Amino acid sequence: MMIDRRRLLTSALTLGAMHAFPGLSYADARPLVFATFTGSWEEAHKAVLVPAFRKASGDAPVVLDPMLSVDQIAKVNAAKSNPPIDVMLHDPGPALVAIGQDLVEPFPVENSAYYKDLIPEAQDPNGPAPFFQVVGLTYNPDTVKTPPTSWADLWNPDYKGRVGITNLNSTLGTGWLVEVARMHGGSEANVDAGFKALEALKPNLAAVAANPGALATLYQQGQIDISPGNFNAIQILKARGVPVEFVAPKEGAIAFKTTIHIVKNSPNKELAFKLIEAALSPEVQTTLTEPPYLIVPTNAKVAMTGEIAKVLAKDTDELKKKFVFQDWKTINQQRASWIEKFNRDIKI
Amino acid sequence: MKSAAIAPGDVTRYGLGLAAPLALVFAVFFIAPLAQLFYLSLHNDAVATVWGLGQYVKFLTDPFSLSVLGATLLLGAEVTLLCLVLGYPIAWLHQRAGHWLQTVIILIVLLPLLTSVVVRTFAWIVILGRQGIINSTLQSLGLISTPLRMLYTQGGLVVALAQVQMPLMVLPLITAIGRIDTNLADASASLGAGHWRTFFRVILPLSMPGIIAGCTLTYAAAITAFITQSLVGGGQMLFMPMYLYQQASTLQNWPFAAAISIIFLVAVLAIVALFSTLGRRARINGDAT
Amino acid sequence: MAGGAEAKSLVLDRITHRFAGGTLAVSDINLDVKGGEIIALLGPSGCGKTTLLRIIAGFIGQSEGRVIIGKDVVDALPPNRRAVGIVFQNYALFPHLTISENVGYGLAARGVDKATRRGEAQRLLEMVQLGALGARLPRQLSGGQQQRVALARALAIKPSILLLDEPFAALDKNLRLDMQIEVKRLQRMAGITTLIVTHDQEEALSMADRVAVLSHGQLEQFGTPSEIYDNPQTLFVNTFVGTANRMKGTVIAAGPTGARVQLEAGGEIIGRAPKPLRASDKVVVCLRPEHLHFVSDESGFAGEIGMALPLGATVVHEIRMRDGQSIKISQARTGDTSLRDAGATVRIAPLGPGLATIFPE
Repeated sequence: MMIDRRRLLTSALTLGAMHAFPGLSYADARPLVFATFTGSWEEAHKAVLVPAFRKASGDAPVVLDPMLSVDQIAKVNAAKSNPPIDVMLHDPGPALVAIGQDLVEPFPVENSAYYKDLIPEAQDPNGPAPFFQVVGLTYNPDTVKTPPTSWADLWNPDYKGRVGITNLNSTLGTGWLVEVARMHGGSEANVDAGFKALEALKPNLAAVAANPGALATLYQQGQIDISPGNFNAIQILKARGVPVEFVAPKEGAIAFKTTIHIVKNSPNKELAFKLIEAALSPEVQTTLTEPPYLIVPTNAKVAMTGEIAKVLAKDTDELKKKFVFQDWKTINQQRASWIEKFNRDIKI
Repeated sequence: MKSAAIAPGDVTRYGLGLAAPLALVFAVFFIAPLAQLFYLSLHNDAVATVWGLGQYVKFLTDPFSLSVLGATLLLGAEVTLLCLVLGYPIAWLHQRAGHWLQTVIILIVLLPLLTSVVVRTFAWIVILGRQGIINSTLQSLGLISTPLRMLYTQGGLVVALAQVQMPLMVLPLITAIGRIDTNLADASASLGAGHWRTFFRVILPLSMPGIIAGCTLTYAAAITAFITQSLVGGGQMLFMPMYLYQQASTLQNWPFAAAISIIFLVAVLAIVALFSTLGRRARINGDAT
Repeated sequence: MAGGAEAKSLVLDRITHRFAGGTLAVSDINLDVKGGEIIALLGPSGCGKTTLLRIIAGFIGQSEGRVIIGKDVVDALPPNRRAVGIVFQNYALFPHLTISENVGYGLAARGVDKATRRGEAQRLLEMVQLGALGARLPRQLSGGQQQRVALARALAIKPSILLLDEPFAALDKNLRLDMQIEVKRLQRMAGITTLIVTHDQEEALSMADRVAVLSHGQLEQFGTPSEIYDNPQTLFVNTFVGTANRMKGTVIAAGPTGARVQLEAGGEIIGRAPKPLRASDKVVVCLRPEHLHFVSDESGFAGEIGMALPLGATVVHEIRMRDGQSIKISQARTGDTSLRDAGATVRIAPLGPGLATIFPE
């Protein structure tokens, strides 16, 4: 009873103070809200990033609120002046949308201890990339005896009716199409060559998944034997005993930046900065390279070991050589029309 | 004093008062978002600043968009038809069965409702897959040498949706068929009609209310079944829910997504209206000619 | 239809039926119905009369025995090929069809063309005095009208046998009598062999040429209404059809067709015995109330008036006998009939020696 009354009093006072001084920070009013992604991302962030942030911030309260990029953007858009989220996490496409809609606070680069250590591709003043997502070739070693080495292997007549891809709703599907276009002389600005190649792939196609997650099911059901796939998703599947392997194609594995942003008008800007700093720190990134997370680091000072070293790259130099980065600003300009074309043309 | 306050004349007002919370919920959580959706759809640009009917014009003049709408409505028709053809005999059997068997049938019909749509859909992936139950059975019987492609096909999707939505068809049918006086079938037989004539001239017209209710529910559920459509149908089959999702989620084109929703809603309402009109006519003009 | 094909006979030959659970529904029923006769199957609910009707119609396949219509054993025929017309208790009109379509339904099933069907339906509707209502739906008609439609519909197929299942049960009393007369008129006109299933004895006695009384799946008696009423063969028939006073007693002396009985209520009585009896058998004596009268001498048996009921054309007195049983006595009401006061001591006696019927207890 006493406690309740005391709490009530505190709340009333806080509210009163906030009304009296509108400029007063909301920092005391609610904890830092970090919108991560669902699933393995949330687990990794809960286990590694949050403890590191707590340590760095003197146990500041933080809440993980995992949701899709699109929901993050919608929520912030709905309350631009008083956003319910302080830190957003985005794939390259949505990141550009969020920046374009002016929902992102510039990252105070000059205050950052780690920003300069990031590999150049991960540096972005609108929000640095604490992690990479890597897309390469995935295959079932039980049925595909010769490991594939190139994207071109998907067109191998031996895999007639065994190839899976995803549609362009996903970053994976879109990025992969751009890469195929590049192989055939196209670019981020012109993927016609990619569509032409897709047309030629049709006899080999067993399935066009509606999202990358569905690829996992298709492997488990033996519906497909080879496909483009996300390095981390495949590690999870492999850990569950599904026979799948990941290889970086010789053309280079496609690397997407997963960028982290301070939300514009966030009442917790200081804490948001501290969280991002923690995400960029070599300590956190090193821990996250280890199993079961196997997240590809962006901080050049982080040594790569284990499965990442074996399958992807041993160090930043090799990573730069073996990874392909794409210009999502250009991609986003035409993505709608590509999706439309994909909708129309890719029927199996 | 208290009892005097509730005069007989107040009964109606009292009843409306009870309905008010529901009406409020309906207004706040259905009418208002719908109005907002409509408002959003009346903008020509993706960030909703320029007024206009551009999104509707874009959809209605684009053969591809219209084909997505057509494919979705057709999918609904196929699923509904399959549900009706498979569900009617079940409902019929239920009516003729003994008490014990009736309980079993109801349980079997209701069971899918007790599991989530996602679980039911994944079960269908296991059944239809390359190494799924059907393919492995056919292969072990030596009927086929290479597995049939059933997952990610229209046929597979129709079957999966039909199973997932079956209770929505069977339950209204059971109710409607159960209401038919069993003497009518006997009367028809005694007048010289065979089983088929009795069925088509008496039982079928009289089960029309159940058929309409079942078809309406199944149809609406089948065409909006985003999860099953995308998991069993795959990414290359585009239906309205996925189209809508694509525009809103991937492309952030909310006004176009809103226009798609409104057009979809209108199309579905038109189909439902057609169902009930047809049904009513069938009931009125049930001429035994 | 009048003057059509010769009316067919109906024979039920040793019909026995057991339900799925093994319950005996009807047992060893023999009925021989002449062409053109009206037969009533009379009995309380659960006696098996409806089962018998459904067996004749072909809805139930009997466990044993044969159904013979005319010269044909019809057991192998499904209901739609038996040419048996039925009027159901609830009429079972097709609610979604017009009256005219209902009546024409059987003809449509026989492939009769639409114009002929319309004409025939109209003719039948006029016969049942509903010529103007052909375009209506069943729910727009009254109960009596619906029944006429049901009858017209059944007659439209020119059935060899017409079955009526409790046809008047849903009608109020005044309408019932009208309809009974109407049905009998139509039956005579069409000359169709007809079975009426009923639990209403008055209906059975007034309408039927012969009555089959059923109880617990057994045929108790099959005879003309007079035989049933005046010469009941079993205790059940005697008590179910008409009213009967039951008095317990012991046989003093027995002949081949009659016996003398010492009543527990005091006094002796002589009566007919449908089944042979022996001296000292315990028996039940049935006496109809109208077969008793008050006597002023020392004959008959003594009792005390319990209650007097003036029932219009008759007056009924309830008499408490010495052994506590009560007995009803009914008199035609003439100018000088007076009600007796309760508690008055009276003596009553049968009107004649053969009017009591004696059954083994």
